[in-house]
Amino acid sequence: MNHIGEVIETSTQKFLCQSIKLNDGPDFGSFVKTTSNDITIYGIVYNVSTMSDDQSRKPVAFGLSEEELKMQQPQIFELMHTYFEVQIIGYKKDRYIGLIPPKPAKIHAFTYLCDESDLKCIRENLNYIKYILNSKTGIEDELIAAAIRNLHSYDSNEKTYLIEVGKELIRLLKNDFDRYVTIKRMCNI
Amino acid sequence: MKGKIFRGSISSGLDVKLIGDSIIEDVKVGNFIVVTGKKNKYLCMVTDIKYEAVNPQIMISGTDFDSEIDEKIIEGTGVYGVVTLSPMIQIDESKNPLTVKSIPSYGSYALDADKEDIYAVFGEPSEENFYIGTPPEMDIPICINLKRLVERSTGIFGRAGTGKTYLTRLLLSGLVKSNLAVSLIFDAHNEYGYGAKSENSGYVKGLKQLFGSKVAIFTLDRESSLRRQVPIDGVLNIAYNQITPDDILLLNSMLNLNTTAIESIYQIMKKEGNNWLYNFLNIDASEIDEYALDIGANASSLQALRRKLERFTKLPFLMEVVPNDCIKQIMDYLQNGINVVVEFGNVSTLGYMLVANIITRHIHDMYVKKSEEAIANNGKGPIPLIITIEEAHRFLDPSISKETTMGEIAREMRKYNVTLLIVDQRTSQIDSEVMSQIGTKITCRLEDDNDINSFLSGVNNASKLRNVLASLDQKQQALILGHAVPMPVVIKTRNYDQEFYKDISTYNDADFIDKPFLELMEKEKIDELFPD
Repeated sequence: MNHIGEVIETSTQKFLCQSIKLNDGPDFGSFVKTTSNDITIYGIVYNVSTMSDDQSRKPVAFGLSEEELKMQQPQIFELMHTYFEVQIIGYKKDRYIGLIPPKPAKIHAFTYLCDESDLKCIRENLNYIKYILNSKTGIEDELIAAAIRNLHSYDSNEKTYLIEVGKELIRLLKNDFDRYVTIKRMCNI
Repeated sequence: MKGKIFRGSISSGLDVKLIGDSIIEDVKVGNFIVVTGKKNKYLCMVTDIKYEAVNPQIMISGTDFDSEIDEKIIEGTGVYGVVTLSPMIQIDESKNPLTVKSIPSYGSYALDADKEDIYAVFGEPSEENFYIGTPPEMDIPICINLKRLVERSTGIFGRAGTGKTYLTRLLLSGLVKSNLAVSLIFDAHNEYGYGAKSENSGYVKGLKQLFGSKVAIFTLDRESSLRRQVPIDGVLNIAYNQITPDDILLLNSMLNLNTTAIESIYQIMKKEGNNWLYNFLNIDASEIDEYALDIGANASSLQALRRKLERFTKLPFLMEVVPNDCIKQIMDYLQNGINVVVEFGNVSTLGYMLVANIITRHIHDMYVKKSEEAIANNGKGPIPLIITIEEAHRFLDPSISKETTMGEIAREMRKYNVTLLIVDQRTSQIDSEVMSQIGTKITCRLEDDNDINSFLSGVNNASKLRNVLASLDQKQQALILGHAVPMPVVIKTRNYDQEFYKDISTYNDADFIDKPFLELMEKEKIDELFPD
């Protein structure tokens, strides 16, 4: 399997990756994993951005199409990169555990998109809801809605799964029912 | 249902949160629930059902959704069903039923009671435990302890058409079968002795048909009984000299006598002795003035009194001289353990009250005498007697219950082995002092607030039972509480049908149900004459 990025900043709660392709990072709300030492760390992508390597040099608008830019200013594409930030939701060591990993991901570790069996593990452990809701990413509600959208249709018991998730959400948001209603609407299922 | 205790106190009962697949609609007020604590089991009755929410906002906004998934998400998490239980009996580790003195541990499971739980509390059907019905949602016999029942007076109440008569018939059958007591039944509407029409299923058997020679029927209205082809054991006639002024006093509500009239009665009695009523009614109208002067009463009030007492002459069973002393005959039957049904045929209420009171008075005297003799000889008292009276409020109305023999029996005769089985529609019409003495109270649906209040007066947990009482079905459901049951219980009354006949009747012949009764009687007589 091909990796989609590489860890360039890391902590036990979040990590930042540089995408291998410019303008082509993973989708918002998609699940990714990275393996370091003997554990695989799982997370959800919550912010994708493209910017200059050198923070002091701002890109300028050239007024050219992408094709023309590639012809006339090919260096731009080398100086710019796409980054994505990941909120950690669990790790796997022998089995999947829906908790923050004991160690952060290693720097320069490769990042991969989660495959079906990974998604199945994440889906079964509802702890991801809590990590996302408390992630302080600024877009918790959108992120949880995206996560539910991505996970719910995964197998035939989708109704049962939605009910389980809904119950967990109400449990966590019992004091802010309006927020629950908003998230539910954003799930748009 | 399945739930877990999450709140509770001795005073307000236990609150159970419904869990799992329990649907709130399946839980009904009055149902039996068993809570299994760490040490004890608690048999409880559902007294209230409601919703609660972790956050009141959820309760309101939760209704904005209408998809099935949303409903399922909110149910049990945001909004959940709460069932309030009233613990009635506590069963300890060695399976002894005790009064509730503790509450189960937090988080104990609450489940529907099963056969074993119900038997542990109410006992299995036996000679002494009479199977009177089942829990409304289950098919498990609930028994009433007849031995305890006969120790105190019993009341059967309920609005017209709710099944009072059925219940009374069941209970009387049970009593006759058990031989624990002998019954004297004042059958105002001819419903208990022999077959009667039921409201839906046509014809039902009476006690005589079920128990043969264990039941004797006396009638006050021979013609009516003959028309209904009742095999009567005697025609009851009352002689004028058996009526005392006190009997007249009891009928005051119907005769509308004033105090002067009552005084006059005593004056007449003083002059005429026991036969006062007959003599007084036979005085020629023109001689009244002279008679008044003679006894020192007011002539016009005496005339008024006569006009009113003339109603007695219309009673068919009143005679100057009676061919045989039927009251004595009834007493003999009762003493020999034979149950007596007194049919009133088409006799007016006035007659019903008069006769019931006279017979009761004699019984009262007899039982007091017998009991006193028994005390003196240190022997066993007379066989317990249960007097069944319909329209009991006529005898136990607050204004007269202090005077009547019925009132006295209700209040203190249990010491002399006489108790009442009161059948009435309105509990509020019965003297509260009498109501408080009733040991076992059985009620079908009551609707009037006053009736409910007086039924529940003096009952523990009355406010909780109110909900239960209000939710009884219109038919065939009853709430039993008091001396004969270990805890208040709602029952679906057992059917009074062929199966019941087979179960209860002394005739063990399987086809007795369809046989003409008289044939059976003949056979019984022959069997008695020529035993095997």
